[in-house]
Amino acid sequence: MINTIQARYGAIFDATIGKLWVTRIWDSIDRDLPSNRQTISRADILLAAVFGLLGIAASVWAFTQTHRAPGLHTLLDIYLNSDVPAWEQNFVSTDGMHSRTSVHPIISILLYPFGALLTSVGVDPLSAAKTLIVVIMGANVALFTLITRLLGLPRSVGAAFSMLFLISAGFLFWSGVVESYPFACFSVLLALFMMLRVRSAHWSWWIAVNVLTLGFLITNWMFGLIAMAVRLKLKPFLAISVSSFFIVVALSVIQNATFEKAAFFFNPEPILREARFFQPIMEVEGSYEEDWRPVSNLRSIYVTSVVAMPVYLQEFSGYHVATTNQNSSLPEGELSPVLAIISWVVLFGMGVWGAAKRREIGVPLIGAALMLGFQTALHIIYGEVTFLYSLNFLPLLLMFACLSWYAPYRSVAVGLVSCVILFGGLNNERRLQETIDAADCLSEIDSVRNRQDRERTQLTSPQDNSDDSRTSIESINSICNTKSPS
Amino acid sequence: MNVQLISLILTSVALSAGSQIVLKKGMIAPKVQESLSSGDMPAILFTVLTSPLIVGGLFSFGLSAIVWLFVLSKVPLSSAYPFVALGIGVTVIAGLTLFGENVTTSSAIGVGLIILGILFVASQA
Repeated sequence: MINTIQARYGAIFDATIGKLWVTRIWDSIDRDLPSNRQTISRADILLAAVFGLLGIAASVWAFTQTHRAPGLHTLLDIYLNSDVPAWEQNFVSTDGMHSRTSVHPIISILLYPFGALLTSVGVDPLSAAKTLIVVIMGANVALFTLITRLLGLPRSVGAAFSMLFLISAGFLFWSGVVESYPFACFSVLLALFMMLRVRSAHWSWWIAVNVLTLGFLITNWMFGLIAMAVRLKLKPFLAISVSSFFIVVALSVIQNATFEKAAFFFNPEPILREARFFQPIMEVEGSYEEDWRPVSNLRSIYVTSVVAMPVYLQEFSGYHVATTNQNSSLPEGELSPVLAIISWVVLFGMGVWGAAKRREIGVPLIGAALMLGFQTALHIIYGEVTFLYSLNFLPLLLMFACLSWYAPYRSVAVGLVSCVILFGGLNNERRLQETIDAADCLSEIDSVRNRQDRERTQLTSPQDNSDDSRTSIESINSICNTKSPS
Repeated sequence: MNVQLISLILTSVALSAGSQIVLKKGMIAPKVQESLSSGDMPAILFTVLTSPLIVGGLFSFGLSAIVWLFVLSKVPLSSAYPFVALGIGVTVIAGLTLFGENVTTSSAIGVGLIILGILFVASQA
């Protein structure tokens, strides 16, 4: 049956779109990657498995750290504006807060079966949700290790960059809480893997990549589409894109019938509501305490994702207080973040330099640059805490950093990776502890808890600040021993 | 550019940056500060010129100039001079560690970009 559909589609395409100039231009791009490029061997799979286990260990460690702040797992937003309690429910229950499926289209139906399987064998719901994160974070590191090999890096150098992924701020901060982004990160890595694969893949793999990138986060579909555009001619590209979209639509309909509060991602209304998280709009409406600062967003994308910034407390939309690192200043007198930032900036710059020299995989690298450009354009305006989305673009940043191996001065690149691992690792661990402590302190403050409850139960309007019992941000800073950036 | 020449350039830069650190140490020494606050010009000159740190700093500065002259005799000015910017990185780190000065994220990024720029220049030389 599939063959018949394919034949009919082929005939229709050839008679219509196939005759257009856009098809000629699209198909004229040389997409064949050199056949002598690095392929994945058994030793690479073994290395990836080792790093997968290290990723699992790092995630377990991160959970043991966040465990000391119970409120972090029960209150929305206090941990860098994330929705931890909602996701803890969603992975294991059909009556959780599934409304975020408006932008994470089929995440509930994709992950719930695994959560339900774990709970059915006696694992408690919270541990089941945590297990899913631990496993996917391990898979993320393993997949990244394989990508370093597809980029042509020697195993030892690939291992160093995998270690860099493990100690990066994005990895450490988001491997110790239950959130959706580790899964989005997996789909991004899968898209990059498929884009760099030497052999051409069966179309079903591309369907999987597109269903997962779109299914986990609407905006991440761009990763699947660009990866496919890099490798496929227009005929299969269109067929797979459209098929993937309708598979996600079909799963979304089933999800809507199964999960009580699930939303349709193709309903424009909830998607348009996301505009309230555009910083320029929030600035105009006065619902964001800090001005829209594109430079801070850029810093968060390109630096904070790897080298964590200090935490501070911020009032969001006038009605809830949360930890953030959006506009932080470097801690006074600490050498490790300074050395880590300097090393990372040079390493990333050398990576871009190396990418420009790596002509044999030029088309995939143009694809990667487009992906990064799209993410930069999106997150320069979207989201109150850009770091919340770091797992979406971290793999791309690290992929470019890997290409520093192809810039002049390889030894400098290796030295820089070591510096980022050492100084960045020290800094990130300290920043993680501070962030957990700040979130823990916030969760102990009655007025903060009350405001969170109001937000969750009454969906209080952002303008409603008429709560006399609320504690000022200055008092909260004083209680939690934190300070706002100067 | 060979390793020997790069080593010479780095020596000159290190001496120059080192001199800034020593001079700063000398100028914030209590004796010099007291003298500066007195406003007595001859006394200030005497204190400054007899401070071992300041004299050492000036000596290091002079030595860096001599090494630099040798570098200039071998390396094109446009290739050699960008390395001077490395001193900015050294002094930023020294300011943070030795003098407790504050380093902003932008400064750290800037230093990273300077080093990257130097690598670019060096690769063309």
